[in-house]
Amino acid sequence: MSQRSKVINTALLVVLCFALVGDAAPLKALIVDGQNNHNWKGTTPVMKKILDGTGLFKVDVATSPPKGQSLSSFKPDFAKYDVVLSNYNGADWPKETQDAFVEYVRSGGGLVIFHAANNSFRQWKEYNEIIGIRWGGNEKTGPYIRWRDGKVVRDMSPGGAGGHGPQHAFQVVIRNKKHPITRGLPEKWMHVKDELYAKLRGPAKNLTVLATAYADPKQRGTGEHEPILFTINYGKGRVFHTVLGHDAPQMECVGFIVTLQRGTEWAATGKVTQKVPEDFPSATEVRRWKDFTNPKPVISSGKETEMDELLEKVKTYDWGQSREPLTKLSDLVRKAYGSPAELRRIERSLVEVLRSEATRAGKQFICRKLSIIGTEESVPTLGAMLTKPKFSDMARYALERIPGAAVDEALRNALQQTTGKTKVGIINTLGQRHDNRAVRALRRLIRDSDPLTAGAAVAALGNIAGPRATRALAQAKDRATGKLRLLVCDAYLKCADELAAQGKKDQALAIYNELMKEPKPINIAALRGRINLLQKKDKK
Amino acid sequence: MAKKTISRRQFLRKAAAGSIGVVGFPYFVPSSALGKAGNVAASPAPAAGVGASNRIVMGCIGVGGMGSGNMRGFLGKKEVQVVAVCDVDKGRRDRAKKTVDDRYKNNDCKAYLDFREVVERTDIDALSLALPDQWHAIPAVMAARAGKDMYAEKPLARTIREGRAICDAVHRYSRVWQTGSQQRSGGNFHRACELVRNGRIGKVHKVEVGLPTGGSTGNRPVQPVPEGLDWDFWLGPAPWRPYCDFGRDRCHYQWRWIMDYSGGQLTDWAGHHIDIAHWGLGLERTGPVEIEGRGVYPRDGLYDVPMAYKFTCKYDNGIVMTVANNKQIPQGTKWYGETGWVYVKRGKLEADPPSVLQEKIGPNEIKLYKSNDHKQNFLDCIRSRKLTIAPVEVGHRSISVALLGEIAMLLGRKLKWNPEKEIFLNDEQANRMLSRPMRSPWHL
Repeated sequence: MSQRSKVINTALLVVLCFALVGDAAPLKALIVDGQNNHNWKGTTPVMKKILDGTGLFKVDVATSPPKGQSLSSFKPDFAKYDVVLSNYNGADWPKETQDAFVEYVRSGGGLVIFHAANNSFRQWKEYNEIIGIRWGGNEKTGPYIRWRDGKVVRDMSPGGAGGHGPQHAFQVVIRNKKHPITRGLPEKWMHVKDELYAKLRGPAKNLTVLATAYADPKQRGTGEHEPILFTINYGKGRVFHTVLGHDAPQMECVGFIVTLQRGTEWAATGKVTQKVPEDFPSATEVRRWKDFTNPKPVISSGKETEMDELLEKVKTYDWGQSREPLTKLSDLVRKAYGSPAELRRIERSLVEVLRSEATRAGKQFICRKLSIIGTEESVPTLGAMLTKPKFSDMARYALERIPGAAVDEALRNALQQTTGKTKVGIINTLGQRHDNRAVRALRRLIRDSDPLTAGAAVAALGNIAGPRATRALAQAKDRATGKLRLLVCDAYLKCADELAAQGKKDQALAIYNELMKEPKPINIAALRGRINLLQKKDKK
Repeated sequence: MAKKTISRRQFLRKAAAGSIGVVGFPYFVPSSALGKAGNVAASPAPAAGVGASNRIVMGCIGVGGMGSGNMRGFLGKKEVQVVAVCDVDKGRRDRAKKTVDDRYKNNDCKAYLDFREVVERTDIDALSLALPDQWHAIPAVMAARAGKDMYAEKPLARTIREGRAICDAVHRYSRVWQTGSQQRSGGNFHRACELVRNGRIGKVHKVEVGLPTGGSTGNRPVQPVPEGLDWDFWLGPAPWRPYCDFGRDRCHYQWRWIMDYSGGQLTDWAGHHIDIAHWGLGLERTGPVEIEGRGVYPRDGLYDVPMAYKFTCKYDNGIVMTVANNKQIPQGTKWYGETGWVYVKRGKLEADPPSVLQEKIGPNEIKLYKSNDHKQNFLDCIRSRKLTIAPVEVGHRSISVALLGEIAMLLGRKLKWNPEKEIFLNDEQANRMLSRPMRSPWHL
């Protein structure tokens, strides 16, 4: 391994190791809402839908009493959750709730601050430390946080906190590519028409800027690169803060959805296991997911699904090339393990590749997949490959593991149509499958002029065992000489062991006695079989 | 479909277990029934000019890194005569022949490409096997059938079914087998296991096993097969692929990171620290009943075995074994009991409380099999026909843990295992992965 790849691996592992052996149980998320100068009734269901799209979270919602009513009864049990998302911008919570909230974050709870949630609780000191920077305040609140000349600048100029120009589409620039939330995202991507929060200020302790956007003076902006996505560490707690998402239409942006999903997972666990979708917005073009979910499902009946694209790549895959499409396809197959219907659909598309002009390497890969998920539905195609020397081994790789009488029948048919090594392979697979119905064909092959074929037939009969195979071997022993005789005796011994295991002691003993007349090492094995059998008798 | 063979396996195994209840008791066939030294006495004088007829005549199949190391070990034993070396790479077999001939100061050692010719030699008593994992089962089964005793490198086999086939053949033909799990014959491992077995940390409830961490590499271009290498033979039963350099010394070392030939660091090291964990627990002849875990695999590049891995195995008696790479669990074996723990790895033995290490094992307590020299133990057993310190069933059960973990991680779900019948319960896909179809003409 090169030094470079070692370094990369180590870096990768340090991160990945933490990702191992997570609890299979979903992460518990709580969205807090109830008061907001924004459309919280519209955005909370969207947040929930976005989180549901990851399959990682179980989402609850805690809604406070409406504006003007007493909040004394509002006591969400923060401690029960892995992550809390605030969509709240309203009246102060009771002291007890505030304390519980601070204690929750301090002791390691995850928090996501969404858009106008950073407008609330201006006087609450700990809250401002938790969220880093805010809308509403002045120089006493803390510095402005700006990105200048490639670094974060804490700007203590006097002035108000928070503001935005008219809504417009703007480019988001990732400033920290190594953070779990932003790793793998394109460096620059267009956000849909939205408010560009500017002039946020606050204590900004332990704040890490992940992404900024340039507040263009043409859009009545500050001319500064304003923090758009950032994190704060408070005690043991992790906070992800996104200023994007004024209302539901703004939340259709794939960039918003993905960063919210990743940011929430990071806040909950400190890691991100989600993959970056392929249709992320580019540096110049926005990308929306209507309905807030990835419109490219794993499998669909239509064309141009992820699966179809990958299968096209598999068709041209060759050894030495990037394995990435194969890995991705394997992921899709693995995801479908629990769903027989999905697996059948996948099986059909895999079989299509075998029928196409795909490369040998591509077809071999498909056969490996079918060896695990294949059914009798694959048999006609795989069976046709059995008689072609170049493809027979890979077809057997799949068929040998697929259950069902149709497989045995296909193998027996192919046996008659093949010669040499191809035939030997089929004989071996029939033996591995213990196909009793192959005995008649196999016993004829013991006399084949090719020693490899004869030897394989003998071994297959030993693996099949059973009365008919045992009889065939008993007869073959009397005729066989030389090396083949040793193989026949070995297979015959297996039949005796099988009989002994089934409690048919007299029959087993008869074979052992017969084989004790053979030369070493068959006689040793026969003697051992005898002793074992008699010891067993004594015990009874 | 495999019902019969399962019962046959059980028969062979039970029969085997029945006669090895006491360490040192001659197993399967009394040696008197075969003549004191079994095959040995009957051997013709090996090489002219050397041959005391009571020497153990050996062939070495696979003479790469481990194989030539083992060969040199046997060359240093005065009771051994090495007469054959075998490798599919001409450079290696020529080098090995030279080593042997230099040692004996003659030109008598024969070099082979095809192991079957070595197995067929009737003058050979014992074989040293050190091959890539896909090549473990076939030569071992053939050699047992030819009446050879074997010193064979771990892991026992690439699949659980192949491992069972080796066990069956070794039992069937009453062969002496030593798995190359040499930790059993050295260092602090014996002591650690004896402390745990005799309850010095109370009843054990869990054990942690740390094994090395894997890595990845780039994609490597297909290349012409190098001079002197029989690539088709090297692949053997594994699926065909064109030759490429695996990253060091042709294909000869880094095959360990490719799933067709190995399970990576996990299966490479299972024969050591999992083996020791089983020894200390007295669970050497059974296996877990539940396996669950996750692996992190390279997403691209030539290597495809897990870099990081962690899985847990529950045993029938409630003991939980966790196996992981050494970034998650420190390398070695650590047993946790009611009153403390014992931790052992190469060059280290620790305990809590430390006083445990001062404990003496009394005359009426469990005394584990003692060997100070793994190869010598094998040679002694060839003569005595007794069980070695790392017999075949035990080697099979050690690697089975890693192979079960491999399947559970590949499938990404919890699996239930019947260690007696060696099948998964209610998991058809998992059961498919217990064996691998072999490329023609190879078979068991």
